[in-house]
Amino acid sequence: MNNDYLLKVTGLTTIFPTRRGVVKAVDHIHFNVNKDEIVGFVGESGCGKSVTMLSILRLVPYPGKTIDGEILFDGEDLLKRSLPDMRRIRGKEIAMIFQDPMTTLNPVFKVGEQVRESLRIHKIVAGVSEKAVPWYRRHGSGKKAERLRVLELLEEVGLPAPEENYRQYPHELSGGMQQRALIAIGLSCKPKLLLADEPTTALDVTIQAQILDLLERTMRGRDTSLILVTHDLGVASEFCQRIIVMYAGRIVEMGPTVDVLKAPKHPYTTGLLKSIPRITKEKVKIKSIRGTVPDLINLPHKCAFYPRCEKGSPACEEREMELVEVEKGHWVRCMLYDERTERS
Amino acid sequence: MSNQVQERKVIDLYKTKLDILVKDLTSFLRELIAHRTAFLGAMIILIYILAALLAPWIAPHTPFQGRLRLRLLPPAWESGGSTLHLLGCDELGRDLLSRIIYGARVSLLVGVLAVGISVFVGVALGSIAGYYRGWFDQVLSRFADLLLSFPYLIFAIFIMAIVGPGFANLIFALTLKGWVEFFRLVRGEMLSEKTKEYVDAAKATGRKDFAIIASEILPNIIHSVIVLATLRMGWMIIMEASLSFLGLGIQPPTPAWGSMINAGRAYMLSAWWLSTLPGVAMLALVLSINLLGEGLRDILDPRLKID
Amino acid sequence: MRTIRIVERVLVAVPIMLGVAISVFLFMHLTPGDPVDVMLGGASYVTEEEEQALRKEFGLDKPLHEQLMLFLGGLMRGDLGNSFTERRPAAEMILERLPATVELALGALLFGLVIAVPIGIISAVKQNSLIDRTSMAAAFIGISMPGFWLGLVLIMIFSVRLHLLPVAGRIVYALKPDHVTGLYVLDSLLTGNFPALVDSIKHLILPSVALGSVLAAIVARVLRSSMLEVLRADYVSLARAKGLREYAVVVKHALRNALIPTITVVGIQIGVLLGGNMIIETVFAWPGLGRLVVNSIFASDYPVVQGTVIVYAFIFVLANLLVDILYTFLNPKITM
Repeated sequence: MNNDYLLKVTGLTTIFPTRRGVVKAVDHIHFNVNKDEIVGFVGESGCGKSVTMLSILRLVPYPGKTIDGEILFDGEDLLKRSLPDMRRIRGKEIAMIFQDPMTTLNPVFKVGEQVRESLRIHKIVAGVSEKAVPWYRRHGSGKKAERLRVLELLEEVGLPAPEENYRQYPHELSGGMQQRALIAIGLSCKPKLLLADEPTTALDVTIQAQILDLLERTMRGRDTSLILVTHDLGVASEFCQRIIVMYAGRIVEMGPTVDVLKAPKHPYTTGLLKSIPRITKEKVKIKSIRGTVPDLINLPHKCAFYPRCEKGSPACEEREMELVEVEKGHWVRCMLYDERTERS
Repeated sequence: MSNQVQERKVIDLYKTKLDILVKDLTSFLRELIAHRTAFLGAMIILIYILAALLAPWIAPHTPFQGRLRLRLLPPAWESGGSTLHLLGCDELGRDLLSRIIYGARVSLLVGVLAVGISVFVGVALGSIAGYYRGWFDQVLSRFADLLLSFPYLIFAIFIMAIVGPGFANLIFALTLKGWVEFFRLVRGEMLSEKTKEYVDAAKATGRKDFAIIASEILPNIIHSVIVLATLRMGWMIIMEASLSFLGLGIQPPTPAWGSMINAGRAYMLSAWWLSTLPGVAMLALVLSINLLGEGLRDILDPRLKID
Repeated sequence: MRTIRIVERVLVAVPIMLGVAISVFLFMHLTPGDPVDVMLGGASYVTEEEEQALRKEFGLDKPLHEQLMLFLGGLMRGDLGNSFTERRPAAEMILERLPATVELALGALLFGLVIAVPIGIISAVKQNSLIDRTSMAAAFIGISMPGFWLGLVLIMIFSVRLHLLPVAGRIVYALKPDHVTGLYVLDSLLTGNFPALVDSIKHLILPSVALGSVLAAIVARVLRSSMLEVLRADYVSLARAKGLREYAVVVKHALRNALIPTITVVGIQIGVLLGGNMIIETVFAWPGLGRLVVNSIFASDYPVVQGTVIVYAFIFVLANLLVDILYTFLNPKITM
């Protein structure tokens, strides 16, 4: 069973020291990602999903740092690997797609060059690692092959005019096209794991659908897993096989999408689902979750969601809950499901 | 009866405005004191200003007359020096410390006047050009562009060549190019502020243009103007010194740091203090002004990027 | 696209230079006093006819607008009038001194940039470190310091006290290299004249440092500030996520973007450089345009003053043009 895991995260903790105190952006989370799987990370802004992604690649910006945990990838703990090793992994084994394509692409370089850069960093030529080509065949294959490969990639991601787009600068492309280029960068070295941090949030709704379609198409043909970070449950429900719900730096519920969304166990998940506006015949008031996201520096309660929870009880204040498997593959962190309480 | 009531109302109105002003000023001063480098700069500038104002009383000797016996007397800490003349004497036997103190008068005056006039002219022209646009704006902007194609010192020297040396001419030469920066700054701000809604609102209530400009410029633009003015003051002082150094600025016997440094050149080998010490005094003053300027930028608006 | 932009900038420069020439001419003729009297040095034994002849020789008997036309015409041909004091073409005198000024300006520019760019980058990358704080403090002092004073202090330390470097001048006369460009360092390199190379460099060091320090200080500060902003950008994070080495992230991705606003500042500072050039030449007895203009002012040699001011302004306009062109290469977002 363990050998199927592509990524196994245990006890990951990432903090940000600030003037007012220490912010626990990610607080002891455990989760796994299987091979060839699409997992959704869902939660409000500030819940720690992006920081988790950055922690995997060890790109947490200063002054933040990961202080605890284990990230097993391909059998080795990423947190213990050397920096040169990490650089080899970044982009090649694990690739990341960021949120706003306009600011993620470097404005002074042509789009094609930026895709090509990924290939050159990892010395991938014609989709094959340089080492696989014998030395007497490598000469000359470099530039032309790289260019061809980039054009292939640009076409794969659905850019209408790859030749022209190659020569263009980011600001000459629309938001959707820019994001496609970023996806091309992400896929260029055929990574085993792709981290997509809210890839559609900065785009128009119609373009969103296109990009998600693209992602799904490309995932299907490859042996790549995708972690899709989003605050949109609708997006998560359509594409992800499993969903992980985060709140205030912790995982509160996780399991197969169908299970989690059809029969949510954690009150936060229920609240999220209820707050999705629906088109119905009668006018229905949008139900929002009362209260606001807590200050991550001082979490006064054992359960961070307690102040906003409709089903909270004094028992929630007694001790912290762990993630408990309530059904096959479906885990919850909530006092409601504690064996020791009467309710279950 | 109604007259008195009206009077009372007006006084109350002014009182609240004054209160606000006083409150703003006190909070500003508090922030200034808290900002260590700006405060240091302000204190040093204050010392210079006091020294310049009280020069006739605090200078140990007269700067204009020297005693030839004391020619090239070294500073007190060197061998041969005397505590009567702490910083030594120049080539005519004049006490260097006194000359430096008097020199501060010239530098400060030039700095304040040159920047002050530049600000006044630049702000006035800039607001009119920015607000009304039209041919006035075009002509003035072209003229400003033309002035900008001359390097500052070259231009100043050129003007001095035409009008001759002297204090007033120096101020004239410096302000002739100095207003351009403030003109552009204010014009630019005016252009962007003009489109904002509160201007339309003011116009709709029938306020006169001048009143709109005056009540607009004051809060929004004055901050950047103050910061720029402070930062440029140091530069003006250096320019004055450069021109005096070349002999084109303040003429002897009026003590000016630039001309003192120039006079000391001939004695580089024998009397290093003649050229060095006035420069140290200038460095300290300009440094303090710049510290204050940067501090003001931090306090008033850290988003400003002026260099 | 880009070529259109470049052509546009070049075309705009022409009316500017014309405006410069005209305004200099007009200003010049506002001088109080009669240039002929100046030329004659107040000698009273000159007859009326001789005075008239002199006036005619210099074209001073014609109305102003005619003089302006003549002047502009002459300018196109490269004729800037004749010097009052030396009775030869001002243009000749200027051309003799031009290489010296250019050499000094280039030396200062080189010194300034070589110091400023690495410091700007390192200070930004290692923000708030010791190197950041000390270099920014040094830069702050640098912008508060008058260049001529720095020059004198450098002379006093390095020439007078330590006897390491020469006090003044460009080169020891005997070692002057054969003329190729007029730039001694370059000429000695081109003619393989090693002693001349060493000597000319020794003479060039102190003036370049004195002149280039202000430039270095300002550029270092601006570059640091742009780099700090750029390093926070998303595309820098992406570069790291691609697996790029930190060095390449900084130099390839960040620096290119940070240079864009920095270049603009350099353009403006070249003006300051040219102005300071004049003063430094005086301090170091450097035989360039700066000393020429100062001496001519004192000698009331108006054609030469006029000519040198115009040449200085032209150099500035050209330098800014180059900077603008460079800018279009750095920043692909520039459209019409």
